[in-house]
Amino acid sequence: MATREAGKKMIMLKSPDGMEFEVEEAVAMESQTIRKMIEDDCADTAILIPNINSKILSRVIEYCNKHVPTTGATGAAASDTVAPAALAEDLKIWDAEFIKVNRATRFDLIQAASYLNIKGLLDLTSQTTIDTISDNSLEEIRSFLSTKNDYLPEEEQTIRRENQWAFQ
Amino acid sequence: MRGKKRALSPPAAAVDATARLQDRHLAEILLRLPSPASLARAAVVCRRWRRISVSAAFLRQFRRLHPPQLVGFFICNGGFHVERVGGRLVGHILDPTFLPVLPPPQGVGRATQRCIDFSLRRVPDVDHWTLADARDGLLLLSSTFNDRMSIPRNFVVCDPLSRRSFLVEHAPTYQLDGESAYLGAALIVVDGGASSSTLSFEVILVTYFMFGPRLCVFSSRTAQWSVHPEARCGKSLMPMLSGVGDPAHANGCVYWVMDDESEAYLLVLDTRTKEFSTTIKLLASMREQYDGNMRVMRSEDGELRIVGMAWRALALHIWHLDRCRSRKGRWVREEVHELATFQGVIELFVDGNGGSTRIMDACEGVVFLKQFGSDWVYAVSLEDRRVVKLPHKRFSSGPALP
Repeated sequence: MATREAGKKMIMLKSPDGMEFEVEEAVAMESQTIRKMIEDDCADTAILIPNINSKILSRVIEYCNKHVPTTGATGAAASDTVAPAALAEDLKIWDAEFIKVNRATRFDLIQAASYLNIKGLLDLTSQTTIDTISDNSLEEIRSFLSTKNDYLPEEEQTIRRENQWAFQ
Repeated sequence: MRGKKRALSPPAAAVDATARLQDRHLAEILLRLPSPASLARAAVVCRRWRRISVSAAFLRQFRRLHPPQLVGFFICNGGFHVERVGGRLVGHILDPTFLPVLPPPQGVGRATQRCIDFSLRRVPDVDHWTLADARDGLLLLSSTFNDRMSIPRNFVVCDPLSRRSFLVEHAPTYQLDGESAYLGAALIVVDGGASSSTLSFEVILVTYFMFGPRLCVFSSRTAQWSVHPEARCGKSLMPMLSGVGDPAHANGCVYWVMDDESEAYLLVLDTRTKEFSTTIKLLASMREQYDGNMRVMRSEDGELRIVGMAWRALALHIWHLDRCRSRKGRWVREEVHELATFQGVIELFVDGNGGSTRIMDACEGVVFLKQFGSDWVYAVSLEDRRVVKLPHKRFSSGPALP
C-alpha cells in the first residue's frame, strides 16, 4: 500500500468487511465516483465503499495505483526516461497479467469498476470476458459461463430463424 | 490462462455465473461484442441476454460503439434485363443487384453473401421493380415509372438479410391532382421504442403540383396510406421539373436540390414533423459552377454537406453549411478533390466521351458518378483517391448492415 509521503493528500477507503486502505488522493480519484465525493466535500475522513469486499477493493486499488497518471514525482521513477509508447506497452502487459483471475473475481471486478466508475478497468474486465466467449459457439458460451438456456426448443428455433444471417 | 482453467474444471454445480451480475453489468459486457452478428448470436444464449440485447437503450449504445459499415451497394436499372457472365454483370440489371465493397469488412461475410444472393423472386410480381431508396440496410422498391409525370403506386420494402419483404400497394394517387409530378419516394425507419422488437417504417411518396409539394405517407403501424394536405413552403413558383434533383437522406431529413431558374435552394422534408421548408439557399456561385450537378451527402452527424462537381475544373467540391455563427448558416467550401490526380480516373474520362458526368449519390468518403449515355457507375473513394468502375447505371447506396 501507498506510504505516507510529505505533501501528498491521503484518503481512507473502507470496505464493508472492515478493512481500511489508505491511498493517495490522486489514486482514489481514478474512480469518478470517489472523485465526485471528494469534489463535493463529502469525503473528509474515510469513504465507505459498499458492496465491494476487501479482496476486490485491494485489486481495484492495485489497478488504480498502476494507472494513475505518472506526472511529477509520483510513483514510477522511470517515467521521465521511458517514452510514452513504451509506457503504454508496459501498461498493456501489466493489464494482461492483472486480469488473469478467475471468472468470479472478474465479475466482481466488473461490478466494482462499474460502481466506482473506473472506465479503464471496466473496459479491461468486460473486454476480457467478451474475448473469451466471442469465438465460441452458443453451447460453449453457455457451458463456459454456466448460463442456463431457458428457451423452449421451438422458441430458440424461431429466434435463430429470425437472425439466420448471423449464424451462417 | 488461470481464469480459463478454473472455469473449465468444476462446472460449479452449474450455477449461472452471470446471475450475480446485474443487468447493467451484463450489458457492459455485451456492448463489447465485436459485431452485430455476434450480438444476434448472443441473444440466443438465454432469455435474459436477449431481453438486454434488444432493449432500445442498449441498441442505441451498441450502435454508437459499432457504427454501421458500408458493406456494399445495390444497383438497379428500372427493371431491364441483365445477365451474369463469368461473374461479371453484362447487359441490364433486372433486379436490384448487390455489389460488395472490396475488400469486404471483417465479420460480415455472411451478410455480404446474403446480399449477393438477394433476388426479387419472392416479391409479388406486380410489375417491374426499380430501386427507389435504401436505408439502414433496407431497400425500398417502387414499380417502374417512365418519367416524373407518372407516379408509381406500388412499393415494396425488402430486407436482403432476413429476406423478408413487405408489399405496400395502391398509393392513393387518385386523390392527387391529375397533373402532379413525382418527386421521389423515401423509406423512413422509425425507432420502435423500448417495447417493440418489430421494425416500424414509413414509406413517403412525395409529389409536386403547382404550388407546393404534397406527401402520401404509408405507416407500417397503421398499414394505411394517408394523404397530407399540400404544403405551402413559401415558394409558389413551380420549378422546372428538370431542375429537381433526386432525394437524399441526411440527419432525419430528405433533401432535394431545386433550381427555379433564378436561384437554387434545398427543399427539405423533416421526416419527423413531415414539414417542408425551403429556407436553405444555395450560393449563386454553387449554382453556376455545378449547373445543378450537386447532391446532399448522406450523413447522420447533424451536419449538412453538399458535394458538387465542377466538370470544367475536373474537381469535386464539398461544401459544408457552417452554422456556428448564425442559425441560417454560411456555406463554406471545405474540400476540393482534383479528380485528375485520382487513380483510375482515365477510364472515367474515356468512357465519358465528352458527355456530362452526374453525381448519383454521395455518402461519407464515397461519391458515385455516372456518365451520361454510359452504362457505368463510378465510385470515387475520396480517402483512397481512387475511382472504381461499378457495373451499372442506376443504383442507390446505403450501409447494408442490420
